Amino acid sequence: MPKCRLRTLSIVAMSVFDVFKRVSQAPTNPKPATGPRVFDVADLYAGPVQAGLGGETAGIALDEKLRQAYFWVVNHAIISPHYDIEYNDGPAQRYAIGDGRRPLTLPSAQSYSSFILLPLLTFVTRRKCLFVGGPGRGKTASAILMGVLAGYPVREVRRAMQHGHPQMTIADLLGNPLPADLVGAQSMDDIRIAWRSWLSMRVKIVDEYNRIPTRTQSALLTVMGDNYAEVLNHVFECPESAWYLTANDDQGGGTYQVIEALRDRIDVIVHALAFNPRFLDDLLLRVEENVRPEDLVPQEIIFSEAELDRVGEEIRAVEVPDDVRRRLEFFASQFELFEMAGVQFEYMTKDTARLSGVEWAQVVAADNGRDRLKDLGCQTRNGVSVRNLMTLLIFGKALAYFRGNSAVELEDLRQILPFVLRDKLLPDLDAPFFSLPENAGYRTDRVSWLRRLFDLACDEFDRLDLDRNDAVGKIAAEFARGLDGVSESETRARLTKIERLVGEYAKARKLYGHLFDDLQKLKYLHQRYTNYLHWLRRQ
Amino acid sequence: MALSAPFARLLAAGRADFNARMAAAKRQVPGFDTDAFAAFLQTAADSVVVAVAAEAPESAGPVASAAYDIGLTLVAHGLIGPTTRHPLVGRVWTELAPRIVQRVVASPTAVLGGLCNAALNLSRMPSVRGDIWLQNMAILADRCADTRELLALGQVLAWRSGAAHLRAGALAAADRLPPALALAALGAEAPSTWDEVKAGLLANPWWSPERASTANAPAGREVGNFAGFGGIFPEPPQVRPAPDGFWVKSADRYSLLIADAWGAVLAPASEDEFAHPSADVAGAASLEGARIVFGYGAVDIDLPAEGLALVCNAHSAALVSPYTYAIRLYPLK
Repeated sequence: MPKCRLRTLSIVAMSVFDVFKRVSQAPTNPKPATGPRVFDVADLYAGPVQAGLGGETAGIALDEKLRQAYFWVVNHAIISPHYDIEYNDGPAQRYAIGDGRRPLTLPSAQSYSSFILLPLLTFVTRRKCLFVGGPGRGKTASAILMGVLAGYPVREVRRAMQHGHPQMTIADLLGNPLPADLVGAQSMDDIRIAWRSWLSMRVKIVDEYNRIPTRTQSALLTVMGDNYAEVLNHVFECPESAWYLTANDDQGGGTYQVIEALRDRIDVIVHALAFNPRFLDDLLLRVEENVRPEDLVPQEIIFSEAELDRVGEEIRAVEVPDDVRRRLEFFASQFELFEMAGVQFEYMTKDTARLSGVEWAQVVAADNGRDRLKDLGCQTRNGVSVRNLMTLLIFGKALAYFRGNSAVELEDLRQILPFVLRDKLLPDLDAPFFSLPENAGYRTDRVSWLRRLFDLACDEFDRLDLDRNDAVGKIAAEFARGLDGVSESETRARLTKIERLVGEYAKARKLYGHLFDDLQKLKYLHQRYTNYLHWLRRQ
Repeated sequence: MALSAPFARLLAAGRADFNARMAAAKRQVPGFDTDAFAAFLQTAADSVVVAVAAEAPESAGPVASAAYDIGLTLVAHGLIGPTTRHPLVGRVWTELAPRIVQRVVASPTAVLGGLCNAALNLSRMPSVRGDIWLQNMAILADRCADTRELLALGQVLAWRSGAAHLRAGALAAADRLPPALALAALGAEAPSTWDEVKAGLLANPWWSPERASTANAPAGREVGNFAGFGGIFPEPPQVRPAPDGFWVKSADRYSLLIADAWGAVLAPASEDEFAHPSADVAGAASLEGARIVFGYGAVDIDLPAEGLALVCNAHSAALVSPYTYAIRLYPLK
């Protein structure tokens, strides 16, 4: 009888007091209108009572729909009260907590949970997200929700999910040749392949990917990296997809070491934080109501393929202002330089040191002259790759879009950066920075370290006053206006200007990452002008 | 207060189901006010169910069920009960719904829910006269042939009650009503035709069919006032012209002021919008000492001449002064 009572109650609750299916009707991030004001008279009848007058979401902007999806997930599906992506529009309340006096901030603007937001941004940008964290933290549930948001039935999403295990073969992952064809085939072309259905889905989920054997990981890499699957010379072209992978350990633990190329294909890494028992009543409600959130995703927040295409276009149209881009350039410039690794200017990089096979500690020992505490480059064992920068830009745009903005703010980059670079920019834990007592926490908290690194880079950018005093930027801007009509004498004058600037930089003696990149840029510009000068002379 | 017999019978017949809905609401909304809900059933819902049971007894069940669910939502949001700040919502049930039984019976949730939302939205706008809206709805609503007309009528009457920002949409809604009902909704006096009234409204936001016969000069209106005395401006406001109103700045708050013959509404705006106003309509009105001179005459001002500022858009002039927290609006014609 009690079971029967609960069932009845649950059905009634669905129709009447449907908290699990309710989507925010008010703007989730209200902003003053930027275009001509339109006051919709139909809004008179919109309100807390579901009057069923229709049109509540008709014509809704897709960024608003995305926020509605976020707030539905965060309010009803995944219990994640961790607002670790913090925004402020005024002074925030800050407290120092515990013996370590760690900061607790009460943000003054709408802030977000990375565990919900990052998968959602991955969904709309069709990128690749890795969930890490202990078992039972909602990693798989979150991935399944993303599949449902793409319009797939829950059952289909569950069936399509790939579960990594030590015996997983390439056939398990991609598909089998049909046995009858194998016997009778005269050539490879005669063999038909029964492709796995998940390959054609727009949301792909690989659970516990670090339990997949190395050889099968290589096949997975082809699908992830190049978006096609190959079996016996037959190719299956996959649609553009959002990928979700889960692992209990992001450091390569699990049954098999994850191959580096596969790790490098992952765009963002999200940490599933621990459950807060203060929210046990929410779990109790689910038990009593016998509901699973993924079964109750409201239709209003499901994205069609065309909508996802349009969101993608709108995200790409979000502007990255020059001043924001410059700070990202400056940050990225800090890390690749390794003066002692090379003799020729271009090879003075950490990549040269890594490829040489010489032990890292041995190469570092040769480094001298720089302030290893102040130089941010000394905190890492590598630099930022092109793929990482592209990911940073697209996720920065996606975050700005999600917040309803048409341009990326510096804070967007600051917030998104740790999740993109978490597994990519590797700390040198022997660096002096990490040995300071106040920085001990950064040895284990990669997200906070990366955000701190970005803050330090921005501080240095401000100290050098590069917003107003960017000599290389001015020369580059002059070049970007084109060479058409530039005379020989003007070209020579520009070459002299470059040479003079290089000379000034050379006088400083100490070489830092951003100077290294500025000098490379100057060399590039010098070469372009030199080539142009040669061409002019032949005219 | 006891429940009426018809409603009591309906609740008893569906007792298990109604109890389950109530239990679900209590579990999902901590602090759900059961006393307020009981009071809602005994007064608001009961008056509707009684009216329906008398006129269309076969529909009393569905109406009771819809009323019960809407009541749960209203109580969950604190919109009904002795402590509510929106008594207009409760008055919809007792003063309006029992008069429009046929409309309620046709679509109980849409009509009752929609009217509750409308009452809530209007009562949230301090400058809108919600009681006038309710009063006019109670008079005219039974002339509506269907739910669509009823909702359109509510929109027109909301505009006439002071929701100036709904002007364009409400005018379109009036166009969908039978002409006689549209004229009645806008208070037009005989022998006006709908086409004449519509043309007058389109030509000048300060024109009202209620005053058409008297043709007296509009007196303008005062908007705002000091936040400390229940107004909204923490500092004497500044104004700049906007396409359909005025951008307003008071301390760090920015608003869009939209006004017409029936009311004035302040909507949130941004600093950027205030920084990029429309062009002032030069020569439409001018300040001469403590007098404003319009094309149709002059108005004396009871404020010091020092610091007076007059800004005009296409239809209105706005006067501000460092000696008042209110904005005075005048029609240009």
